Amino acid sequence: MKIISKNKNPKNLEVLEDNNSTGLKSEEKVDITLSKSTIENLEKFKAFLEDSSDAVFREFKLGSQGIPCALVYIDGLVNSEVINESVLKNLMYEITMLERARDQSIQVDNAYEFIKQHAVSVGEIAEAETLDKSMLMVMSGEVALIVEGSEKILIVNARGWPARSVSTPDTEGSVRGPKDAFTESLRVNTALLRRKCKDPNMVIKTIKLGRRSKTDVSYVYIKGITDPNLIEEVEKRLNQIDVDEIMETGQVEQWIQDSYLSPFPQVQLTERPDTTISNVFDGRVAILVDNSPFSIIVPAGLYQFFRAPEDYYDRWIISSFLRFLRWSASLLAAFVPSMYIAVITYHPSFLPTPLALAIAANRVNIPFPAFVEVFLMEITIELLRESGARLPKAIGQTIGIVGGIVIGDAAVRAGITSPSMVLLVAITAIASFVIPNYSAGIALRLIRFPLMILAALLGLYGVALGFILLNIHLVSLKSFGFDYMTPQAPLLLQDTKDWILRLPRHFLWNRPASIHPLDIDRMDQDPYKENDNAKKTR
Amino acid sequence: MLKKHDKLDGIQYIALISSTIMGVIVISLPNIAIESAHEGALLSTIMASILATIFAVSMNILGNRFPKKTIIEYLVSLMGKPLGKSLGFILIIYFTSTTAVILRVFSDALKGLLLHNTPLEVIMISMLLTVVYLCLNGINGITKLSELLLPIIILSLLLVIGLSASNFNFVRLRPVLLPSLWQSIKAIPNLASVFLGYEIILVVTPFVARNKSTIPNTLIGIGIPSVLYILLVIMAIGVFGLRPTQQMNYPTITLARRINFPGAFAERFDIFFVMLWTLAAFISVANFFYISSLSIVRLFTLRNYQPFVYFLAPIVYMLAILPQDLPEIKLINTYVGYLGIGISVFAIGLLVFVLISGTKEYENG
Repeated sequence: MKIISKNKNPKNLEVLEDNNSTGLKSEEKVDITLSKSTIENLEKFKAFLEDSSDAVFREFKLGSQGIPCALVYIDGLVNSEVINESVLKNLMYEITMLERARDQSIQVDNAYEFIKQHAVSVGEIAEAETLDKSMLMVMSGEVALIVEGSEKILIVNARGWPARSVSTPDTEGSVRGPKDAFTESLRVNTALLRRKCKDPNMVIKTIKLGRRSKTDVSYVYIKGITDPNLIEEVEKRLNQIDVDEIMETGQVEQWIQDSYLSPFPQVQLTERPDTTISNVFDGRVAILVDNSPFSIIVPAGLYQFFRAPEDYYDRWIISSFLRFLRWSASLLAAFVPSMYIAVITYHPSFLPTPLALAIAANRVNIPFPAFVEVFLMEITIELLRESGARLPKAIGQTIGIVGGIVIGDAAVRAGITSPSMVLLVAITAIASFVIPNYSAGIALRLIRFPLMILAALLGLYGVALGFILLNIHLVSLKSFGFDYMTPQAPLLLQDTKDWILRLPRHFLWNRPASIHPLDIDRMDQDPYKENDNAKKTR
Repeated sequence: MLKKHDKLDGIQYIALISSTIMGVIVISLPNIAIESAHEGALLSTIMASILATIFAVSMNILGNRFPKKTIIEYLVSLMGKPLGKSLGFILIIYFTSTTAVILRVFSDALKGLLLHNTPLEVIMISMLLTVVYLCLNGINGITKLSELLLPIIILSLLLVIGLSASNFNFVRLRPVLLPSLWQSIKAIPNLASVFLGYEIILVVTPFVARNKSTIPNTLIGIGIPSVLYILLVIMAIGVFGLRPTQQMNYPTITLARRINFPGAFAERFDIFFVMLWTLAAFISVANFFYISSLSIVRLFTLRNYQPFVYFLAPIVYMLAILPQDLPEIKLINTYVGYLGIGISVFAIGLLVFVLISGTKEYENG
């Protein structure tokens, strides 16, 4: 949080307050207080929006008295059917019928109230007393209804814009479990969460971030479970963000994380509503950003990046095996290249004689030292991964074949690298893809390189030092003030039930104690005992 | 929520004590035991561990009397400023020289075992820099790392002990089963220094959570290395015999070398074990380094210890590079060990004094 607190000079604080009261800033001088005249109010909107081709100003006369009214909205953000059927039709046509039926005509002084009570048949309406508030609503896709004789503006919810429908997750596929993923629309995302938790204690609070983008940012937690200190910290950190635009969860992540000097992700990003909600049930806070199909889950511990959603749906023996596999794979991915360098360069006697001879025979014609060989190949595999990541699927596969098979084979035949090296690099690459979380996987792949340098300099002692340095870094990391290396350091025995092993559901009666939930019990500690008692009373 | 540091809970306290005790000495322990006690090696080790437990527990009781102070501070409040401060200074000298000795012994052993062509200075400086990096993270960083590394250290030792069982021969153990009592007792001061490291209790007292008695944790913290050390002595004698073990510089490493996994990638387990032993050596160097820098800060009643970490590192390096050859290191090692035992005895004396005079400072007092 160092960066943010540095920004806390008075000037920025002022802006911050402006930001919170949705302050409207204009390049030209406009009187932003509302008047009773429709024409004048409309002029104020026009001062801002005249140059924008997507802004619509619809003036019309209301009722038999011909009271001047106007609609302001942004074309494309609104559902024109709602405007036509529930607003314009009522105001221009039905209202005269109403007047006739009641035998009274609407006057300028009661027009606003009358419209609000009788004429607009839309579920969600609001009132805006100031220009900046109504402007913000218009820019978010609402319709502003200006009525002569009122200093308030009626805001009618007719939002409707092109949105991607809910589809399957791209980066976190699963074999079992729900297959819906977040979309770019915040409302859809919160609905996906609500559908999974009907507890009214689940709070979805929304604030607007970004001086100009005014992006909706929601954070979700369950009252009575989540540590109030954590909620306070989340609010504090979110409100400290003071930038022009918030485009994506990743930006929010970078503003609220604890240390920007670490390759390791300190919050968990997921596009799965079920992962999000189960973490919220555990006592964590989820942060959703409009326009982003990812949610941030805080606080995060390293062990969370080794969990896949299926772990909780599958049988526990299978899940535990898979988790063990992931942890070993991560060690493999991080340390095997450097161990190889150290052993080949410094301690060839470490290997059994036949294996050492086989590797030596492979390496006879290789012109490079082991370090250069490993480094070249690891860089190559990273290049392949990066080039394949954003290509269309068909070409991506070609890259895989060209890179993996052709380059690997050609490099060996050309005598640049040994076959055992290619094998090793391939195994570490596969192992690094086992980690379910994308950013944690990248961090692990990145730390291979400093470890390789240490191994080249100091042999296995260098690898041991690297291991120590890595662990010093990890234990010093915090996520929202909570320890990153839980439940290892500090050791919390009750949390280890859901760590490398995933014990059967019956044993997981407690929420993770490392994040201090208010209510630690997820269920009764001994369900069988309860049943026995019930039988007895019967 | 963002506190400066959290109090250490029971497991962390145990980890801190155990990881400080189990250091470089692990690889040469059976040799030391036999060299100083001959046939009494086993009995002497057991007695030394009991003695160490008594020392540690008395230090713990002493600390309980002053829950908010380190020994540096309560020495001053017990004995007055001049005497208390000078005794504190002796403690600091002891902590610093222990750090240097461990560092030197480690570097020498590592050079001999793994990196024959690497200059000693490179090993020492790289180790020291890593230690400095850890110590900048404060007591919580150190305890958390101890917690993380201790299971690995224990497992690797158990692995060596367990896998050596196939080479174990009970007959070789016979001479140590009926030792002469006098020989064993004579060797205790020398062997008790093997368990040094529990003095960390004197300094970390103010950081420990006191919602429960800390004495059981101290007992476990001493118990883990004691059990492992005794097993190690038994295993070394059972595998090699008494005289051959005495000839070996690093019997534990030799023990690891004898192990062979059928069909494994690694033929020489000892190289792997040296790597794991590096972790043990590192954490005990780091803990001693931390308590020496913390003691300095407390002696001069300063707030921030971090500058002293940088200040202490070159001093430790100078001290560590000073001895010329192996016999000299051994000699210094012995003297530092005696100083440690002296301090332990002094702590008991201090405890008796405190108990008689009834001095007590409660946490909220």
